[in-house]
Amino acid sequence: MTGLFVTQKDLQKNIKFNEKKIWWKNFKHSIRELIKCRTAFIGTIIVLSFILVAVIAPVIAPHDPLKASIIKRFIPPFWIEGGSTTYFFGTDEIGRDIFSRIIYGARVSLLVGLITVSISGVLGTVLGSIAGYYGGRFDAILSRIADLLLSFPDLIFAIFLMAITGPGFFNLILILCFKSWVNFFRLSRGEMISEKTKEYIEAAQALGESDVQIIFKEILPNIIHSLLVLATLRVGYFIILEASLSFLGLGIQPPTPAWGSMINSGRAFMLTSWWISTMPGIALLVLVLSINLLGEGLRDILDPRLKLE
Amino acid sequence: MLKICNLCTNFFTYRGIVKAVDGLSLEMKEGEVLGLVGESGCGKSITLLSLLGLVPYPGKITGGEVWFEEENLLKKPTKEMRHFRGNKISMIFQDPMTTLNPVFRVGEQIRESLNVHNYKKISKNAEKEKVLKLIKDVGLPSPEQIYQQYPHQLSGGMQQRILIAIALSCNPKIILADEPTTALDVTVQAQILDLLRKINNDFGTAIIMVTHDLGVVAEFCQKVAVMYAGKIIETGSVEQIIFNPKHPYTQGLLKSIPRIGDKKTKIQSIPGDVPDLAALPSGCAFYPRCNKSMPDCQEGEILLKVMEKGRQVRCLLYS
Amino acid sequence: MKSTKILERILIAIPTMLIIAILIFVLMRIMPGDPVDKMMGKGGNINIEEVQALEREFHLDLPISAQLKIFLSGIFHGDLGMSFQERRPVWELIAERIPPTLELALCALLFSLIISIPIGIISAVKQNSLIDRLGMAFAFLGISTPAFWLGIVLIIIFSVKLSIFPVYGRIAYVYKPIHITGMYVLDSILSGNWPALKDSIMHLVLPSVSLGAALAAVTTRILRSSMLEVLRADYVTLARTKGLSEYMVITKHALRNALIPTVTVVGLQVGMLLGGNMIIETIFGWPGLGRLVVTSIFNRDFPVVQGAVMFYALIYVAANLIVDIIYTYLNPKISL
Repeated sequence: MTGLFVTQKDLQKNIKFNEKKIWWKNFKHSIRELIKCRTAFIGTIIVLSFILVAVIAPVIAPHDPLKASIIKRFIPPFWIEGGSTTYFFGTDEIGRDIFSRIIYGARVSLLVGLITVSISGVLGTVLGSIAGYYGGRFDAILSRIADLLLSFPDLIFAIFLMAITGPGFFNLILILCFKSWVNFFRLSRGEMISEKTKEYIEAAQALGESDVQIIFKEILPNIIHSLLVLATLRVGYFIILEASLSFLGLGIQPPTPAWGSMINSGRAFMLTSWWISTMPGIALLVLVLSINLLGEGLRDILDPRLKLE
Repeated sequence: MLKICNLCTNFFTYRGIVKAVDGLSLEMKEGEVLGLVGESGCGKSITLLSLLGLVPYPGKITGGEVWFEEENLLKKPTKEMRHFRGNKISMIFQDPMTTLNPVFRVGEQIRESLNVHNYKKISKNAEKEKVLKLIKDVGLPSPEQIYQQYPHQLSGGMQQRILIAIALSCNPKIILADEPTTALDVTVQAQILDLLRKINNDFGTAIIMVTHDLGVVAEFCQKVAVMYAGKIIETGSVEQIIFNPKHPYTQGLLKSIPRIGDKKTKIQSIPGDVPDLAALPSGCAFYPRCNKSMPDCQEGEILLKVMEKGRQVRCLLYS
Repeated sequence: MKSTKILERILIAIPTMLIIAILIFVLMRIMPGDPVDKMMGKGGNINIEEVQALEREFHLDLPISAQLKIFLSGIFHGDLGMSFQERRPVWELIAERIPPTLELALCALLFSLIISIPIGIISAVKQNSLIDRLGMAFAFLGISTPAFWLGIVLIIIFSVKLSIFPVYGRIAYVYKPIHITGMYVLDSILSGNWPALKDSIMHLVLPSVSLGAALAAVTTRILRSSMLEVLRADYVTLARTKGLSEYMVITKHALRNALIPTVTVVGLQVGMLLGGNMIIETIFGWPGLGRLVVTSIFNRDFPVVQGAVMFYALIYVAANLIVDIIYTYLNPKISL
């Protein structure tokens, strides 16, 4: 700071610099905390493994997931008599290797989950922040729409819309986002309303910050922790929802491997070849479980720490 | 009537053992009013809870005896202790809004107290009559109406009166009051103290009043015991303590109260902080903050010296 | 006074339902796929006159506004139209399917409450004990397991491998009790038909568990966390100083307060029960409303879909109202 007087610009430069330092310190601290909490750590590792596997699927998968073979149908998993390690989890009703299909199926599930949450998260948060901050007609209208949308069970809503648009990856994402922005909307709106009345907002307004600056620079960093937790938990929820839709034959269409449709096709053979339905479900369970562990861990880490600050 | 001998209550925390109550001894006669004074965290509330055997986890009563009506309460199994709680010994708490259950009507909450100790098996209506009378006794108007109210519909003072009614319901021998006036306005404070005094006069109920407010003590109590870091460091009658405090801590407490007509401009406070009960130094716990300390104060255990009847000090200055 | 408030709520719900009705109506007609095609079934020659006759019968030849008018006026008379596929009044179809769905949903709710309430309470009271940790682990599994997969796995384990429970349907035909309510368990009890009772319960177990597992998990967690909070409250300490037994303190004082946030959350999950029905019903061959909706959407059977969705909306409004009423009884600070 030069000169006799401290100018507004100097103050702001200083604040920005300190903020960056604090943010980085917080981030490092969070990582350390994450490692300390065992269950969350395990969850994170598993999720990251899934993501890794999904990304390098062509390299890892032992077989072509789409290759059917009439001779090689209904081979059981390797630990059961009749199975072999070539077809790790066995083969399905048209002879495709289940293990490879599960690996490729991870791509679909993860993509759907992450993209849906990203889009609906950003959309919902922006809308909710604006609605919460300004209130008025905008808030009233959006809240009514949100309530209306919420009055439908997710699955029925999705099935209904899928029937209109037809199945497919992009349609699926579109439809899932159509309803899910509401959760982020409600959360960000609620937090915005309670933060709005706090004193540091008054201070920021006195400093001359514009509304947009206040929303994004001041409030959002404070409420982002609960939004992150919600986002993480919703990823798991959407992965299950996508699997449910694929199970019903909507959603991702065969022959693209998707865990839901794999579980469905195994239904007819439950008596004899139980692994066709069971194995993809286990993958699904493990992935969602790990995501939830991660989300819960995040909640534990982010929440009390912020209170300490 | 009540004799506490060397009560020890420890909290087993992950940071270490916290000696919340360390060898506390007290005596109370029938109808006496004792003030238990000290800063926050010195163990006053835990003392009261220990008397009833309600020390919360991770605390445990680790030693001592509590003689009440010829019986040692600490040796009693829970089932028998319940006979004493609310019946022979009652307790009232600091914040009535959180102490009353928000989902039940206040009349019901008083009646519950009667009902638990309904050994004579009086009818529900008779219980209700008693409750109405109690509501009137604690100075509340229109008992019928009050009976039906929920706690959030009453003011702070009224809620505290309800708590007192609950405490009074079975005619206890002694009421343990844990800072009952701290959460109230000053005018309401005076009313509640008046009520407690009336109860003491009319029913002969002994009261142990835990507080950090010396003004309340001066106005209300007959005997005083001053606590610091889990130990009693001075006892005496209220006149002795207020006008002739012996322990440096007590003196410091009294000096820090501003008085009308004081010519001084600066409030004298006791330097330093409340000690960490998990890491108490050897010797006198007040040593770091004491302005009359001697090197000997750091070593060994300082015992309570009896100066005259009912007057004790735990300080090397008087040993 | 309370009844007027309830009436108010119902009246407000009506415009919402109307909006939903119109939305459904429009959406169904945007959908690709011709209902008449589906009605005719696959294959065979398409006789123009038959097609036209069908169109006239179902008013499909009229402009959309006219169809809408017929539909809306029909609602006010309780007439939801005729199903394209089955040629029966929609109301009849729906009414047939209500008891099975209701029975299943109630059983799932019952199952989840029976599991979650004791575990939630005990976990909170004995925090960090073995029961607590096990309970929380299971709850965590419960919210991470997709219901439909759970159903399949349960079938594989208990029906196929162990042969304890039957796989499909509601009851073996021979045991079917007299029709009083349509809910076989009730009907068997009411008519004293014990074999029917046993068989219908056996058929109910697996679907109810599949449907109720997730709900049980959520309820256990929320009950535990609110109990933990409540048990630290001052009024619980006061209850103890009154001399109440620990049992009374927990069940009377603590539980009442802990139920308040729990009921809110559980109420929100009712929608989940209704939505999850569909898949479970499909897996277990349960002839309920959910399956009807799915097949009707596929068949472009407009009236049935409209009617069913309206019905779901009605149920949702009613369920919300009931939850609110229960909430006001539990929490005296809130009035309707």
